[in-house]
Amino acid sequence: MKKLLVALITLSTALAANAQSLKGQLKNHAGQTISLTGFQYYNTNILANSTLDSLGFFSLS
Amino acid sequence: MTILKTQDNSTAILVLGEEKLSLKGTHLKQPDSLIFKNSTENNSFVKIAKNTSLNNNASSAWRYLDKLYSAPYFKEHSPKVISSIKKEIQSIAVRNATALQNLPKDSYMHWYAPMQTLVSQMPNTIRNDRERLPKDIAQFRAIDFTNANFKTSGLLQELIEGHYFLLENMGQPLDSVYAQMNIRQPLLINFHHHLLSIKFLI
Repeated sequence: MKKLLVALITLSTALAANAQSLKGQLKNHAGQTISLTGFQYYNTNILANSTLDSLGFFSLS
Repeated sequence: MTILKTQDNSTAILVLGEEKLSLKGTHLKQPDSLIFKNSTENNSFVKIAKNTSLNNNASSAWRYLDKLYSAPYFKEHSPKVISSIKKEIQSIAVRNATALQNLPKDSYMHWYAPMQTLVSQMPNTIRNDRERLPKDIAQFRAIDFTNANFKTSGLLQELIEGHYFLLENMGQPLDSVYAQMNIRQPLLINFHHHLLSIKFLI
């Protein structure tokens, strides 16, 4: 039962994390890499990274 | 909070509360061009950051003139101008404060924006606006470091470093600086113990 609870919490956390996403267009950054960094107190974590296409479209999740 | 960063080291601060966030613009260094779809919080933050920056630049220019006009010659010939300059400096400070207070009370931005403003303001206080020193120091000392919002804010290190930078550069003798540093230290040490205990529990 305890293991099931832990698994459910882990799964729901993972789903919640996946639900957050960012997409968009930044025309003048076309072709560049782009990253999203999160924080936990003093620590930084790269949450996602990608490359903008030739028109500046990107998607991070 | 999260930081969006591009290859040319341009950055923007984002709230990732909404499930699917959409951003359209030309360049991260052109905040006028940035529009978030369905995200009041992010649009509010961009607007505040942009207006605060405009206000601060204008305030620096007015303070320069204020100093220039403190000469006896101008006091004699342009007393109305001196009064107008002082009024505008005050109006700008009120506009900046009102913009922060008007953010929805229950939003993360209501807590975050004043902290972020303090972080970006402290170096400027030392360089151009020393009259703000007591206000910045008082604001730092009033912060509740146990607030859970700090966890993902990314502000802790910058706030603490900025405060110590202020104290070190405020032009007072070292013993006075050390005494000022010690005022908030016990609370910060307790906070770090709190962080260590969280880490230990995890």
